[in-house]
Amino acid sequence: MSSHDRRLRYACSSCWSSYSTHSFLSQSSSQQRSSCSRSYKQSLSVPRLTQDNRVLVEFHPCFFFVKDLATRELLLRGRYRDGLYKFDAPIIKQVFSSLRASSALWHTHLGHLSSQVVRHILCGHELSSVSNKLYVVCDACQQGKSHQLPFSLSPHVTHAPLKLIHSDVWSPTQTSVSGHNFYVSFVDDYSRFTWFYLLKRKCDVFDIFLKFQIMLNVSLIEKFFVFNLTRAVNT
Amino acid sequence: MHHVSCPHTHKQNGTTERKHHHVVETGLTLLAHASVPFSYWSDAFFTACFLINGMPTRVIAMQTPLERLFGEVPDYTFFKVFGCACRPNLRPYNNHKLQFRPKKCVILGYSSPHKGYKCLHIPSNRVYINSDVVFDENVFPFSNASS
Repeated sequence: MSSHDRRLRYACSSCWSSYSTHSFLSQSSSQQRSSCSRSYKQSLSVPRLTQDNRVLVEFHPCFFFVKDLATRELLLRGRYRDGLYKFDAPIIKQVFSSLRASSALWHTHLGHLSSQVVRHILCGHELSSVSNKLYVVCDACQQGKSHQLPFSLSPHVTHAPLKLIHSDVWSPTQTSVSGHNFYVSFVDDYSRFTWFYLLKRKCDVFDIFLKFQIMLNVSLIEKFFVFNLTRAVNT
Repeated sequence: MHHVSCPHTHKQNGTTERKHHHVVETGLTLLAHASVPFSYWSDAFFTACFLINGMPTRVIAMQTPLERLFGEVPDYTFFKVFGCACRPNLRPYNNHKLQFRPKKCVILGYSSPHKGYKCLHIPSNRVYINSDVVFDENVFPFSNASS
C-alpha cells in the first residue's frame, strides 16, 4: 500500500498536472498522447480522474489500469514508458462520462445503508454526489428492513403508592407441575412492589384482577392510611 | 383510568416487561442452581418475585419495594436456598405415634400468607406448608435424583 502511494505521489509531482479530465479526453488522440511528456495539455490529475469518474487507478511497474470503483471492471489500460505512464487506446469511450451519483443512488450502491453512514462515507472518502438530501424514504428499505422506531424513556414520575400500576401476562412454553400456564404480575410504579398471580387459563386474568383490586381496597388502603399517618406524625 | 399498550409494542409497558425479565432470569437461576426441573417454574418464579420484593433496588434509591410500600423491613434470615433439602416437622400428619417423624423434602419457596415454607416430598409428590423446618442447604435432592 505504501509503495502504491509512493508511486502515485511520484507520478503526480513529476508528470500529472491538475488539468481537466474532460479536456484530456476530448483531445485524446494517439499523436497527442505520444507528445504527452512534452506538453501539460495532455497530462492528467489522478485524484481528479478518480473522484470525477468513480474509478480507481492501479499502477504497476510496467503498466497501469483504470478500473470501475464499484464493479472493478477494466476500463482503460496503459504502459510505463520514458518515465511516464501513458494511455493505450481507450476501451470504452463513455468511461469518463463524469455523471455524479445522487445520494439516493449511493444508498442503493452501498446495500441500502442508513443515510447517516452513507453521508459519513461520502464525506470521509470525498466522493461526489449530486445532492445531500438528509432523509429519503426508500420503498425497498421499508419493505425489507422495517423495524421498531427508537423511543425515549417515560418522564412520568409517581409520588404516591398505587397511583400507577403496571400489569402484564407472561406465558412460558411448558405447563408447570401445578397445572399453571401463565402468570400475571402487577407492579406498583412508586414502590416497584410486585404482586404475582399464577393462572391456568388466560381468561382468568379478569377474575384475578378483581381479586387484586379487592385485596387492595380491603387490606392495603387501611394499611396505607395508618402507614402514611404514622409517617406524617413522625415528621 | 386504564391504559393499554399497542399490540406487539412491549416498550409501552416497559416497567412490567423489565420486571418479567428480572423475575424470569432470577427464577431460572434458582432452578439451575438446585437442578430443579423446568416444570417447577411456577414455584421458582413465585419465589423470585418474593425475593425481588425484599431486595434493595437503585430505581427507588436502594430501598426495598416492601419497605417503600408497607414500611416493613424484610426478615432476611427467613430466606433459604431454593431447592435444597429440608426436613419439616410432620408430626401432626402422622397416623400413629410410632411413625418416623421428619421426611426428607425439597424447599420450593415461601408461602407468604402463612409465613412458612413450601416443602415438597418428592416420592409422594405432596407439598407441606410448614414453619418448623430444618434445612440442609448443601444438599439438593433433585440434583441427586437426576444424576
